[in-house]
Amino acid sequence: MIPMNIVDVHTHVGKWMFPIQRADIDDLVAIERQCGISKCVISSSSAILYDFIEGNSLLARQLDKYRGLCYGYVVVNPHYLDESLNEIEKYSRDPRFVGVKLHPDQQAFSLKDRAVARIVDRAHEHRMPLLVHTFSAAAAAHLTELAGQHRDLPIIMAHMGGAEWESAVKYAEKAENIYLDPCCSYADRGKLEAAVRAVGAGRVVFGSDAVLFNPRFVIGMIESAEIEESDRQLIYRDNAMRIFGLEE
Amino acid sequence: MEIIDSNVLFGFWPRRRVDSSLDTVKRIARDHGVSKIVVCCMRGIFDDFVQGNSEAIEASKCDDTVIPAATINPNRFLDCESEMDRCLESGVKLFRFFPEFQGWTYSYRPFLKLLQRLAGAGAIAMLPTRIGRHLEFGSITEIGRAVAETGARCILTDVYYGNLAEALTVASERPGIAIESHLLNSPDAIELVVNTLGPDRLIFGSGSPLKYIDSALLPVMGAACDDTTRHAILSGNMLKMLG
Repeated sequence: MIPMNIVDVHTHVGKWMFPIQRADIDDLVAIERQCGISKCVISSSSAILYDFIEGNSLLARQLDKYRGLCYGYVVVNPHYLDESLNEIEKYSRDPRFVGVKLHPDQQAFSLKDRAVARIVDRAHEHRMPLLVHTFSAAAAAHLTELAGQHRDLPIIMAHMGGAEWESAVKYAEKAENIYLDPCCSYADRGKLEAAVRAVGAGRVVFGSDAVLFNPRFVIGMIESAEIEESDRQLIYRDNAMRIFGLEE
Repeated sequence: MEIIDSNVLFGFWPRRRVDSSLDTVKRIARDHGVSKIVVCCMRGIFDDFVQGNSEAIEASKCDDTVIPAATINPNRFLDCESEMDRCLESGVKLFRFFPEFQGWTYSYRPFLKLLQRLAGAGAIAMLPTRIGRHLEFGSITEIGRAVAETGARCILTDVYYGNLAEALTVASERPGIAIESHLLNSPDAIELVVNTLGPDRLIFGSGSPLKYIDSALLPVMGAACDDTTRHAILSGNMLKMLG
């Protein structure tokens, strides 16, 4: 059975260069609803892959259609620092945008770059949680360092280090504002249990990576995991509601 | 609806801590309504494939929910052909290969020779396609060449959004290629495979116990297809391949 009222902290709208047919916000919402997801936080794939200002703007125009269901991440690109800071300023005044998204692999930067620190400072000033694509132990280590400098800013470690999740959770233990989003294109058995053991279920969140992934794939990870039912409730919904200050 | 899991391993996994005992994989299957599992022994991947295959065959003799799959490491050269014959004589129909852990590629001559022998025996090869875990292009194209050269039938595992274009293109050209489902994790991937290749070319597998079984099962259960197609994916196609 698919659980209900899930909050999905990791979604996208827009095309990817893969054979995925359903990609716009209507498709995303239909897919999410079929999977019991009642709220989602979205970043524009176009903003990640190409022009972040244009992509953020495109998303902003789409969000109104699903108020109270869809929220946005401001995607930034540290290679364009001033423009990134401006984007955070601009969307921090828009209640539909609730966080900031960084994708170091796609945009070819390191989380150790000085520009990233400036971006995180600015997000912190505006109390906008971060979602950071983290696909290696090294990236997890760098993210933990950043988190240590911003201890009251929630930072979501998307993908939890990818294949190197066993090392990534050890870093996550060191910073109490790191939240783990275990979604990945391979559903390694034991990953959820390791996350809950390392940081507690209060710091694990549900992210599907739709429309790239089928949310059922990630729900399957959580459903198969040998964790408490009360942990699932935190992971599926409560933690995300708290992190983003979402209303019922 | 009957479910046969085509992709199950058991034994000892040396690359991370995970309970992979035969009892565990049988329990996971049972708990999720899977009626039969096709199992390959992890010893055969990393250590002695003759002994590993014996363990899989033995497991199937004790339990009719267990179907054995064999594995052979072409690097060994010695014992490869005799082991294939021994497994075939024991009724094994599915042979799995693990180049990712053994350091060879699909253009490797010792592998092609084994594939040819399998084709002659009417057996099936199960071949992983995501050798480096992340974006990996070209391995399915190599498999397509191997299939063209040998006439073998095979099942591709680890097909996901990143290599789906390659899988669909190659499988469209080679009717002897089917796709195992456990990593078809984009929203309409199952529908796309069925619409492109037909309902008889997709086979349910989970990757258990290394992967969470619900991650494989829920997308198939929720796919937009009729019950005949779902039945074919979950068990019918595998049964046909196993004869």
